[in-house]
Amino acid sequence: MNVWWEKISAEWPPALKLWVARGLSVALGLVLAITLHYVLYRMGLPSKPFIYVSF
Amino acid sequence: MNDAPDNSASPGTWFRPGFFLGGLLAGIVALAGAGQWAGRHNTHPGTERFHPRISPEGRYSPTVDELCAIVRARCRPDQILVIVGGNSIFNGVGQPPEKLWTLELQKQLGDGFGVVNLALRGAGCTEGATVIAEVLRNEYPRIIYVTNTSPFTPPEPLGVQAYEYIFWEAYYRGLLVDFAPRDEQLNKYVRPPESPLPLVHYLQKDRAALIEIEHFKVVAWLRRLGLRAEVGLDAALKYRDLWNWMGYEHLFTVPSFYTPRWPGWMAARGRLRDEEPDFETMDFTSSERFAPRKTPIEMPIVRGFSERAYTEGGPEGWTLNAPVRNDFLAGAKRAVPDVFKSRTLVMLSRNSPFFFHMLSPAEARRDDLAYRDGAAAWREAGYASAEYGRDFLDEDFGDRTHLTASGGRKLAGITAREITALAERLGYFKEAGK
Repeated sequence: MNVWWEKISAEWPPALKLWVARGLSVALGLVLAITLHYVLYRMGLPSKPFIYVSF
Repeated sequence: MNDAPDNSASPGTWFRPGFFLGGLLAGIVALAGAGQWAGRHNTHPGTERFHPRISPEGRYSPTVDELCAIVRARCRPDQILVIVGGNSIFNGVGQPPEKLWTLELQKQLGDGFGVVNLALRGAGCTEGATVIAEVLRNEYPRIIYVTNTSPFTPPEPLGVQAYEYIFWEAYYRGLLVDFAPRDEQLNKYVRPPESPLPLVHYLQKDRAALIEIEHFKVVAWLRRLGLRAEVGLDAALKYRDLWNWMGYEHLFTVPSFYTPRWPGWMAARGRLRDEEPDFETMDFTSSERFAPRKTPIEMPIVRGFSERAYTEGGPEGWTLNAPVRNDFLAGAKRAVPDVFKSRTLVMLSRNSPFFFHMLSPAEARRDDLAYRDGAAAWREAGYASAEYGRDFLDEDFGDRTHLTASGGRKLAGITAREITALAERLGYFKEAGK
């Protein structure tokens, strides 16, 4: 999981590495928040669509 | 945040649980805040009604906050608020947006009134828009709710399943008036089981052990529990308001019957025009519109408006069946809180004279009695009521029941007179003069 991270951050100063890691973690949290929020919206939609028929 | 500054705890990983959780929580809080804002600002500018692509038919379900925001955007606090509910007839099926009957109603009532059309196709007379009138009772103390139905159709607080979410949202958010008769009715639909045993059986999937009624009660009770949880979660996180706003203003994410193909279904709902056809300019003549092949289908419906309610005999030729009247009155008394009954105007919708004139003289007499007695029964239950359509012409209808623009203008005239008289009786003009 972290091979790519090791590879791209190998030459970075420790402070930069730290802040990028923090930023990525926050971003992942935000993405998950948006996903959860949207999934709740979709789950709230009726499973059967309503088709109006005049009578 | 429990983060190692020198990276020594987990030198090879980029993932920081503390920052991840911080991002997750901050995201949820920010989205809930954005949803709160969206619910107050999604006012549907430029649309006059819920056409199919911005209604549950098009998988777009407006929220209570959104519906209230629409009302606030169209009616000033100093105006008498007129909320139009009801079904497709009052929604204006067959009338393009520029010929919509509620525009004429606004014109005839004048600037002292603010008319908002919240009617939904297929809705009952006391659902959807009724809820919004009740929610806005304090904000607009001078309010009139106008709706339509047929004679002796008992109103229900919950009607068409597609729209009942509006009621449940307002109900569980505590936005409605406490009204015991309505609560009793709701408990009849969805009451908890009398003992926990059926629930255990249900959870164990041992459905055979349940007698049918217990099974119904458990399913209904679980459903109500689910609804309550869902409303609570949405009230806290506002996901429906936010994603509705996104779908209306920017990008819709749900395919529907009306926009099934990509990329059409992604178009912002607010950019989709109200494409209601115009009965007056459609490429069919009146005779084709009321084609003979349709008569065998339509006439039983027309007769059905009064057939069940009356028995032949009595001084007027027909006698109203007591159980029908009693069922109706019981429904009318519990459908809307007492404080709103007097502010509700129920218009009884007639069928096209094209079909009415095919009734036998006796059936026509029964139909007339049903509308007269139907309006009287609504008044007896505490509502205002009138009928329309008896003196309309064939060309005022686009089909058996929906009006053309000319019929809409006539409806607007009758309804404006009834609304003005009701506003007078309610003392709204005196309040305005204070």
